[in-house]
Amino acid sequence: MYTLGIDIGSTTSKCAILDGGKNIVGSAIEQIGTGTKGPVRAMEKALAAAGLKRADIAYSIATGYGRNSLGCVDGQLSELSCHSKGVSSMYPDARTIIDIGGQDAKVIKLSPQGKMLKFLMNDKCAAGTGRFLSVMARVLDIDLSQFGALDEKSGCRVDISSTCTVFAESEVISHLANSVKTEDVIAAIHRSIAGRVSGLVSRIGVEDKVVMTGGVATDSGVVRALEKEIGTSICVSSVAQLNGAYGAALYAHEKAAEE
Amino acid sequence: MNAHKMFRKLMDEMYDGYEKTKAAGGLIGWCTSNFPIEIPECLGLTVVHPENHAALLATSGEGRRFIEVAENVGYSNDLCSYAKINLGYCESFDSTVRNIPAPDYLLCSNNTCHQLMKWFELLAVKFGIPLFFLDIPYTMEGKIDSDAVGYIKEQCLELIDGLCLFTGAVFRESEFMRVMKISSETGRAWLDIAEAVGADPSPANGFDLFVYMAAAVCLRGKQETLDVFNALKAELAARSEKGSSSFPAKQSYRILYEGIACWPYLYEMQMPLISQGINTVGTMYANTFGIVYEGLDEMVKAYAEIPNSVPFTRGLEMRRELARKTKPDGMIFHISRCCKIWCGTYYEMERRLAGEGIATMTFDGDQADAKNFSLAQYETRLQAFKEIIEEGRHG
Repeated sequence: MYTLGIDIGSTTSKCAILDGGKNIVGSAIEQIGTGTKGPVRAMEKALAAAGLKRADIAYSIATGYGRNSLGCVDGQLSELSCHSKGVSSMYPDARTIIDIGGQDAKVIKLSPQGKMLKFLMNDKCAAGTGRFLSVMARVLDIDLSQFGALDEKSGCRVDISSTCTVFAESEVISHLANSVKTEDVIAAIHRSIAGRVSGLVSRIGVEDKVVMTGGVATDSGVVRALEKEIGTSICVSSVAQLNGAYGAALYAHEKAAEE
Repeated sequence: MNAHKMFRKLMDEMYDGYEKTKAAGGLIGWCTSNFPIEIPECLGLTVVHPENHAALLATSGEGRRFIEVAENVGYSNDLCSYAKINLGYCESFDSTVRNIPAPDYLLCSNNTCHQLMKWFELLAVKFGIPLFFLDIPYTMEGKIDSDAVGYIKEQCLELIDGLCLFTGAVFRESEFMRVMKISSETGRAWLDIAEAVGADPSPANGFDLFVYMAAAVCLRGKQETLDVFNALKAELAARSEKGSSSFPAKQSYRILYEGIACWPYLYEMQMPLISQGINTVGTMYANTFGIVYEGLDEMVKAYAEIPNSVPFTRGLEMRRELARKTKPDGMIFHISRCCKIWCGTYYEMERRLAGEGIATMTFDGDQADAKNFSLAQYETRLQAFKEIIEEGRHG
């Protein structure tokens, strides 16, 4: 039995197809999100990757900010539940999830049974999220995929004090104008995100094992900075960006089995 | 006439009455929401509540325009959004929703918050009018002592003399006693309504409390308000008897709402609640205006011990009591950042209550500034909150 989960975020659309509620047989990530053709494309690509047709899917669930915008699915759930499901299935000993997506950061506390007990999300504004990183990458004219490796080369500490993305952007420009090395600026950007997210982690109470999901988890510099801030090691999910869709597909499998 | 129609008529008459008083050459006072309304009422004075007017403009979508005006003339973006709407409104007195006449004098007490003091001071300077001020000390221990009661009472009597002198009104003790009795009965009726809404199943959509509370805020001392509340009480009792409710969906979940209403999105916020069968069965915000007492000493005490004026521990106990009575599935906290009194302690309060086993959720918003709320963020949190409750039910 095949089930499908699709996570329609603000900046990306992710789709995962499971066979028997276990193995991912097809997946796709499109770099456009809610309100675009991204969700349908992600779904078509995941189906093609699995060698399946729409009719082969027993049940499908949408999650993410655009979860209500896709008419062709059987149900929808919040991404907080889906991330919890995905992580607890893959890492049964996980107790804390840090998920940083395009426009929000979430921290989730899990029970020993893997159920979501509590969650906190970024408040007031979207500082410390994926969008913050994208803006900085544009200013630095460096691809995000290189951020982690460059951060490792940092040898001199500089800081970005503003939480506001726009003001932080001017600070970055100012550092560059003062000939601060790019790798030092990138490390400062990572510390800035980590500082903001660690506040949420402290409020909810950090408990090992900590698993990180979301697109930002693929930036090893953010992960290192966060580990330093919260004082414990972080396991990056092997399906970090796909985790919400994976969790949705797991829920879809349970639903299909119920019916 | 049903309670809702009676309420609408009462509110229409209240706003019409402001204009009529002004047109007839009468004096208009502007009054803070937790000022002892019994004082101007027993003197037959007409007072406007700018906080209520600001909430009305915010609900109707006109708040944004006046906030921009206030910020353009130099008021800080960080001020209370009720204050910004009112101060912006004072630049033109021109609303398409409801207008209020300019004040001739001001009545202000500091049991609501201290920003109100500054707001009213600004009005006093702007219009060159007297500000009658009642200093109600913060109740550090959660209960006010007899010295403080005496201090406030003396001020009340002095304030009455001053008001009589300024307005030409005549004070009669028998009238004061009559108004206090009605006000207290109205407060009792309002709390009875809140308690009825907390029944399981609830006979009402809890968000209705935010609507009806305008009468409890502005017109506590009037018989007509008591009549509306008694009619509403009777309707709720009849619905409970029949097992019906004005909540337009199956009530699957019961929650408490903590904080000021998010007026610009009152309708939008209800939609995901209703579609998921989540009814709001209580809110401390509405209960604040259930002021019950007997005699002047108790009146003073009641105004000094409202939720705005007590320390964190007493505030926490008030929420625990409400939770014990209503047995909710969870509690949502509106973080209205411009109101420090109603959100400054919420992270800790939420942490404590969550530690006692109550499912909780916070969301960012603002009581009147539409810019500070994201519907998508609210909807995501609410859905996840419901999913936690649901998971909890299934063990």
